[in-house]
Amino acid sequence: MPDASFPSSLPIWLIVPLVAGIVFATRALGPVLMAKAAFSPRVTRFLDGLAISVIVAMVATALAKAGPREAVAVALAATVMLTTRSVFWAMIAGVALAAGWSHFLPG
Amino acid sequence: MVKNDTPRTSPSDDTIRLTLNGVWRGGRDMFAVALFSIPFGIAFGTAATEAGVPPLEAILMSVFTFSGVAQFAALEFWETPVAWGMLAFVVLAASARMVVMGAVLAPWMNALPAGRRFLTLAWMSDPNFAKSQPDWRAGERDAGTLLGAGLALWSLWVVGTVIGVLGGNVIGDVSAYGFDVVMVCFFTALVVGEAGRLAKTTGYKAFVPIAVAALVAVVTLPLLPSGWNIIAAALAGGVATVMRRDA
Repeated sequence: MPDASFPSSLPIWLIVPLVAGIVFATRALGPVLMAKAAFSPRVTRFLDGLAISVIVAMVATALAKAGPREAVAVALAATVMLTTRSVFWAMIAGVALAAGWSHFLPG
Repeated sequence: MVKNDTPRTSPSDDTIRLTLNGVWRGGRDMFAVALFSIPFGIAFGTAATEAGVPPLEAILMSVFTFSGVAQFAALEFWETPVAWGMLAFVVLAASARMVVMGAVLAPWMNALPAGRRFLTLAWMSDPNFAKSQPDWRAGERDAGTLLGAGLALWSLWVVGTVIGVLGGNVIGDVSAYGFDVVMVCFFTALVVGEAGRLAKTTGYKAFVPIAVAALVAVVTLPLLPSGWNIIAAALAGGVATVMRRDA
């Protein structure tokens, strides 16, 4: 098996261009895949659904991995967003609550 | 600027542009969020040093990768012999959601000349993708806003990494300051804003893809390799949107 040790012989710093290359490829791939797509109303609706769903999925995944502190911070951010319509103040409120929680309810 | 309450239609090619003015506005509007890139950059720089990554390589990784999730994942592999195949798979999984985001942006990106398209995509990340959605629904047609917001996030991410590499762990645990919840709160606020806007036109049905995506993300989290649950949830939410409107 002449090639078995080949990858191991590569210098470790090649991790940097490898990681950068893979991440750039994922950034570039979406529009390349869609280059031939016709943006029919159906495809446009699908992309609309994808747009909000990918963000929701990130939030849901983060909350599933986290505890009550993060859940309460997110609930407060959502409430502040509903009442003030300000993304900035929603974010600040969530961060302040999480900081307070860490300070007063450590562990 | 036309208020767009109808479902988004694909913009025509000649309305999409990329200008320095857009880059400036995008950077300015993202600046408050981007400031939080600094503590995360510090955390990465510190973790990279602890993993044995030389300072230059750690900084270059932030400069050329600009992805916290992928970079932290890569640190696990910084030992010889390098498990190249596993490293590639883990980084791909950590970054695969970018393919979905890129597909969503395709109507705008593919209207740009190739050079500007890939320049903008190189700085696409979670926060500026999320921010671009409400902006473009509100009539924004300058892709420079996406690029400028990305440049703001990237430059402060690199600054944070340099501080972390050179200064060591100067801030300690980011969770002590609540910084760890910044992004999840930012995304939540954007989703709430979008859901509110969508509910005005489609009523309670606007929440169908949101509920489907959240449910699929949580249910598939222990079943799929890390990161792929987000792809599954996004696709399910997209399908739910199509089926909902067609019903």
